[in-house]
Amino acid sequence: MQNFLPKLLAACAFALVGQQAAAAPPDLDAKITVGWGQPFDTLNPATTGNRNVGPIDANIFDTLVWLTPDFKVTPDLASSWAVSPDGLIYTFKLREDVTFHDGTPFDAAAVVANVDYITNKDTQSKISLNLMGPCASAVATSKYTVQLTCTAPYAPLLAQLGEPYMAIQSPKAIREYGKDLGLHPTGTGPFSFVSYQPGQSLVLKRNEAYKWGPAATGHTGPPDIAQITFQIVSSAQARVSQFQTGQSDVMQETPGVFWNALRKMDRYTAIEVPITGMGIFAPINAGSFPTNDIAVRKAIQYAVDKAGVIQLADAGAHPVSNTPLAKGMVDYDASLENSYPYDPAKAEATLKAAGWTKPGEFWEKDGQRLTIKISAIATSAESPLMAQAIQGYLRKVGMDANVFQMATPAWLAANIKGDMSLAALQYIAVDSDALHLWFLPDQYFNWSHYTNPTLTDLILQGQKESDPAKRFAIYAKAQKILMDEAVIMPIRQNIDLIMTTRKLTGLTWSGGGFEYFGAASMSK
Amino acid sequence: MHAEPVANDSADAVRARGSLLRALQHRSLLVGVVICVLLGLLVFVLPMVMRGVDLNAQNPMATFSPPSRQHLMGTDAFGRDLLARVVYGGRTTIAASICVVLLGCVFGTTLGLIAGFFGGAIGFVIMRMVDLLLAFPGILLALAVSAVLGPGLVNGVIAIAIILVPIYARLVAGATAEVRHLPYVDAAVTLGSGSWRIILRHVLPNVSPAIIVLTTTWLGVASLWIAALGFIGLGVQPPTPEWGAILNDGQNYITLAWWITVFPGMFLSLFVVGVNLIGDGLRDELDPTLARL
Repeated sequence: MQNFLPKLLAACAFALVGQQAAAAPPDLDAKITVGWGQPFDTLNPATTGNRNVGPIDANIFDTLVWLTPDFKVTPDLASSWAVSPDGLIYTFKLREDVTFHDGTPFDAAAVVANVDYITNKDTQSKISLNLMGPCASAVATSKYTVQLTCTAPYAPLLAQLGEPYMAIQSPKAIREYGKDLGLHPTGTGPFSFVSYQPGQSLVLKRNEAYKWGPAATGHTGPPDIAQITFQIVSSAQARVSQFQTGQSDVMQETPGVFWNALRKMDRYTAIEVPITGMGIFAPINAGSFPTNDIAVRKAIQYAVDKAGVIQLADAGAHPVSNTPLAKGMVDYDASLENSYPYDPAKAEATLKAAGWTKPGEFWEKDGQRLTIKISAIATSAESPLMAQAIQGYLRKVGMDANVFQMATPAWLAANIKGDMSLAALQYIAVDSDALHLWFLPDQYFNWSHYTNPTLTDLILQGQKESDPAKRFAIYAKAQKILMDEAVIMPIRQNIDLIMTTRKLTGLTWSGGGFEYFGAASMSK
Repeated sequence: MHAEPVANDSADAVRARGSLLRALQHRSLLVGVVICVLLGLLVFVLPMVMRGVDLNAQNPMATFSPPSRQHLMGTDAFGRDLLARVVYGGRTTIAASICVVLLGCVFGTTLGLIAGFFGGAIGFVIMRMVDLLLAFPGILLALAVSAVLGPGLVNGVIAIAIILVPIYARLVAGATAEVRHLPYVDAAVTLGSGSWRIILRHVLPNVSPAIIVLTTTWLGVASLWIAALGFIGLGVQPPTPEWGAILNDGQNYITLAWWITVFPGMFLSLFVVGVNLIGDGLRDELDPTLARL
């Protein structure tokens, strides 16, 4: 199965690419410009905390395995792998023809160096370390065989090794650059690093030696595109103008209003890249007044018209999400879709039944007003809009909802501390284990400030279970608890709305939604 | 009734009063007054007529409507009537900037009077603190202060007022030190008047023209800074309208919905121009030495 699927996928993809290639010969000198939505914290895959660095790194680096958009684990730097019956040892057979951009040969020692680098405390890895779970030790058993050993079975490992945060960096670069590694990204990927002006632009060029690469994308060998310039244009309006005037060939994070308008013009290619995980959602703080009252949390869910929020905040360009694990995830559970339909009357009835009274404009209980604090990141384009839209709906049912726009560090601190009632945010993941960061006790992201022994148990079981059907049952139960306790309000699916010139074809992505230009080409 | 010599200020006051009419003949002053009065009517009187308009009512079905008879200035991203929001937003911006200059003026003038009149160690301490505050670029200081205090209009007003305090203090301290050694002040001292009486009766009136000119000049700047804080989301919090916040709401849709940025931007510019014209005119009338510079 492991070998058959990639071949089938590759065959399908080849068929597609073949058709496109027949239509127009690729321009092998093509230099493209991408209007990118946000600056990078660092280009170092092991230390970044940004979703938006993932796609960049996916083009500079390769990973041991390539995750297809529908979460099939296929070969990349590892040509095959085996898992021990107890689920504790993963043995990877590596490709033998791979070299890093700096000329260092790729081998088992390089993988070990990367695992050591990620697990080193001084590295301060934000995402990568988490993705390795309890499988933090690597040993080279031969020149091209590497073993990862886990202290407990960890089912999400293979899929998570396909995220760009698990990219394999040149061991020489890791040694040489130290803290500055993020300014000198050196991988084995389809594009190599040329230059980077933080906050402004990043230039990558074709890796002429690229004879390997994920076969599942349908393209092997060096990419057709000669050079990519990622220009960081945070202002949505400026990004759109740049694209419309032809100064960029690709635009990422297209704002909904423009997405609708540009699609109507029928002059560009519109690509919806699903960013999987938990979608855009709001953890609701069960730890402090008034959302420590389950009735209030439920009332919030009934009171907010998600379709309306999406319409107001992003011109309705995204579909609604009603489940903790968003649609597209393996353990997405459709039976939860109707947990909280939009019903303002029911919201008020729920509050009334729980002893809240509404003597004036707002609900009260024991002399305390029902005041909801919604936090938003002031510098984000969408976060304040979404907060305002939610505020509007909560006010409609008599909740004294207030928006607090803050700089990112203050926003993080306020939510970790539990000063806020809710915050709309995104979390990306390729495995259902994403839930553990949000709902296990003492986790950084337990912004719901909620713990439940049964839930904890389920999440820990899910980490160990490798049988898909049993996993689904576990996560269905866990999600049911989250919805019943109303500690999370799913809002919308997370999609990167991408506009490209019609000359560009073959832009694809790996599972999780990491845009990949290695298989793309521009026609002349 | 009073044994003290009549200070120059009374004569100045009489002259100023007599020249009120002449002052209004000053062209830029007149234009400034007309602009500000019209804007004042718009933002403080029109809301009384517009009662019943819910300026925060969101309407997903009516987002980004262009100006029409129903919505004279169109609607914003939330389907809210922009005219109502611009009018009420003006209230916020203008009232907040007046509070800023008043706060800055009261605290800055007091510190300046103390430093300039008494001098010595206390004057030294005050003026070094003023130097310290002046060393920061104004808007950076405001951002730092509002980051510490947290977002909100009141905190924003305080943050910007803190920038103005040293500016007032420096100006008033200088002017006070000059007046301090004039014969009429020495005479008042000789006659046994208390320090505070001298400051309030003899010094303050003589430095007030400079304060008035400074206040009008900074009123415009203060409104821009209030709008700037609103623009980056640290000022007034949604859904309360404010010109800077509305500008920010619209900046991401300029090519699709120009009206969201153009109208509040236009009114903000008009207000700043109006206030500056008044400031220029007052400076010509009250402080001829400055006018010649």
